[in-house]
Amino acid sequence: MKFILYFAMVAGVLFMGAASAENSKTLEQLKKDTVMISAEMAQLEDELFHPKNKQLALHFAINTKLSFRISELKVLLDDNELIHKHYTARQTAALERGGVDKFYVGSLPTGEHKLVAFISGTDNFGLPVKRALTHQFTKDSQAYSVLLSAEQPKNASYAVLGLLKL
Amino acid sequence: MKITTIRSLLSAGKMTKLAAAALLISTYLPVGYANNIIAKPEQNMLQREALFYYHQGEYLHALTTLEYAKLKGEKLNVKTNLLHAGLVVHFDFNSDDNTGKIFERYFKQQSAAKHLPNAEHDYVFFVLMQGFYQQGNLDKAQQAHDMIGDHLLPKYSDEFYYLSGELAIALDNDKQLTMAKQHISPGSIKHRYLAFNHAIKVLEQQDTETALALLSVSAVTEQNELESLAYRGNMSINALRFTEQLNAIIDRAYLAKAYIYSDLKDYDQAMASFRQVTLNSIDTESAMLGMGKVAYYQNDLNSALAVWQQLAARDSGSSYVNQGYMLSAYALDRLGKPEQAYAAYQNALQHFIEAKGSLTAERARMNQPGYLSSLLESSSKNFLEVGQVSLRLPKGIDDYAQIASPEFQRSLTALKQTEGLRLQLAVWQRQLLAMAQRYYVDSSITLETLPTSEIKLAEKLLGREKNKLQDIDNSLNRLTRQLMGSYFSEDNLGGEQKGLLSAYNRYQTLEAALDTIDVNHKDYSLLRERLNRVAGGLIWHIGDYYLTPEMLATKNALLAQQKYVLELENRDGQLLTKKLTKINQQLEQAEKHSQTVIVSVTERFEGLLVSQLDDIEDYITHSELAMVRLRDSRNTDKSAVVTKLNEKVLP
Repeated sequence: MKFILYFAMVAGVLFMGAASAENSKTLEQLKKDTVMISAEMAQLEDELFHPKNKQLALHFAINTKLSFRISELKVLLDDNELIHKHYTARQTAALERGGVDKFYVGSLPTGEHKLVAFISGTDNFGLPVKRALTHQFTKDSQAYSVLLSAEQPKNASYAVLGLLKL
Repeated sequence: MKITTIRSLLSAGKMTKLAAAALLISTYLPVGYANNIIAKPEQNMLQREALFYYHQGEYLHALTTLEYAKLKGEKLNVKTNLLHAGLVVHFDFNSDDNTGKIFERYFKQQSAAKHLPNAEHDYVFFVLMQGFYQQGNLDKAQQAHDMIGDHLLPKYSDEFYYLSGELAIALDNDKQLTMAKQHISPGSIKHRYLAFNHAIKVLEQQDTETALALLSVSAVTEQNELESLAYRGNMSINALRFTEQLNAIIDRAYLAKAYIYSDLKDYDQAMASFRQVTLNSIDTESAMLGMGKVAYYQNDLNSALAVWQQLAARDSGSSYVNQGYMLSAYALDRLGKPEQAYAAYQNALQHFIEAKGSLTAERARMNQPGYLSSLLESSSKNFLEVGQVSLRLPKGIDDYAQIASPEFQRSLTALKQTEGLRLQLAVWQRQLLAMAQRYYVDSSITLETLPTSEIKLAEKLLGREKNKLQDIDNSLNRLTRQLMGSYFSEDNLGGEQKGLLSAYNRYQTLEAALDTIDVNHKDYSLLRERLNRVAGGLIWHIGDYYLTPEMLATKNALLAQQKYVLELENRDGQLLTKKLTKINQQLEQAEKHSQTVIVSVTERFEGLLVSQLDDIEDYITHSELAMVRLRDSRNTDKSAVVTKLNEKVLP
């Protein structure tokens, strides 16, 4: 039985819940403070390199139930490709569950601009769907932030691409 | 902390100008062009970003984004507050009771949590349950478990019921355990893990019959057997695929069965189970040792010898192999082959002396810096999620029981987390330097020079941006002066513009007056500048509608630049230095803590080595005594020392 008890101990580690971190107050405080530093680093980067007067931020969300599953998103800014992104199944699922993907943040000079967005995906029947949207805007001294979204119009079974200025 | 802004460094005169610029900005807010987009302020974008990460399982990113949202003044809503608390539990830094309180609130005010969609609600509590379970806080894990309804997505089902079963085992909840076992698909490896751990639990209660039955469930190797384990007819069971993990649990189950049968003196069954353990698994050596012992108990010394010799020939240096050396020699002795036994002991002695040498050298290396860190496998996802902690054991060091003990593993996790924190902070140090170089456009900045030079760098940057502002201002004024006349000559707003026309008349009067002043007059530049501003003000009053695209672009550029200059003037002139100081202090604390953990783990590790060295010493003594005994054929040493050693080594 001595061996079996030893054996149980080994099995416990291998197959039961992962060993938790040492319940040390110091380590916990260190972790907590480091997470704060992580958030502050993100804030610092935004503050220094994406100041409000120059900032362009683009987000994407899905507000449809089942009529559209995104696979690709492409955005042109002033006729130049700004971003071309492929969504994984995991990312799509996260979008479907209310998440918002901030897929671009950068600088943009003031003035007139044109943004063209394309989304590709599949509908309820697995058939390919493509939608596009053109948006002309003036970038002034404020940050320009938009939310692109796949929307399902009322009483419709198809998705459209919408844009909301934030 | 005192904030040294550029503003505080400016003279009073400069401040007056700044105030004027601020007034200008607040007065002339941009009108904006006609747009088909209705601007609706979207709330909680950062929280929704955090959700995006959370639902992808990127928990650290989610937590950081939520912290960032809080820094930016977003108020966490019911859902994200709960997620935040769950993440804090997940990362195991909730001992300040704060998170505990949040949970108490949610557990009690179920209505608040019920605002969430059902699937979200269940998922959130599922993550909480996992977090508490990993921390070993079983009661809280059970509370979170009980909050989960029927809406958890099917993909989490096996994991949920596995944890539910583990909780049931730990908390002796038979009903919950039965439910869990019924709901995990037999095709899932978790079904086998749960059966195995249940077997270990009943074994502690001496219920060997149930334990053997449960271990058989863990060890199933046929598809039809697997399907017969399905509780419901419609359960989908994947085709059996023998992965490394699956083979490991099957081997472990057979090994456990073999030792239980051996304990029950059912040697045939024990031998049959030992034979099922594969040849290249972590349990192979243990099985070989056991097989030899079972053969020995069955008085089949030749078979025992053959297995032990094979075991001794393995090149792992494990305690099983060490025993293989001793037992082979012992078996030869028992078989009446003194010369071969002598040679075997000699061989064992040589092996143990070498093992002693390498263990002693390893012990000496333990005091070198970075020793333990060098043994840790690097499999971290990030600085908080260390995953499975594993240690690359140096050859000759082998004590799985100690290393696998939860206590030792917890120490290793702490070590690895502290190392992870240290590494992350060092990365941030470098990132901060890169940010400083990029922001101040100066690649010569170093971590050492930043603290002493940042104020000057910030002033220089502000100067550059102010010059840009001045350039834009000049362009706008130039354009304004050029276009003033044409605007008013083409004015079609009639009486409505009387006020402006009056102002324009005054402007023209002033222009005429200024023209009479010598351009070299000391006040000329100042007056010119003021008059240009008056012109600019007039133009803005007329409105963007009348502006040419060039003027509008210049106006927006001016406003944007003014805003940026204001921002820079109000920015802490030692922003990066202060952040660096914070990182350095944190790094210092992490290093201090790391040292404490290293000392603690090293002590444990050293204890383990010393214990192994003691065993090796015993084997050496025993081999030497056995060799002496065998050299002297008349010697029948029954001394206490030899008896004690025999007890230690022999089956």
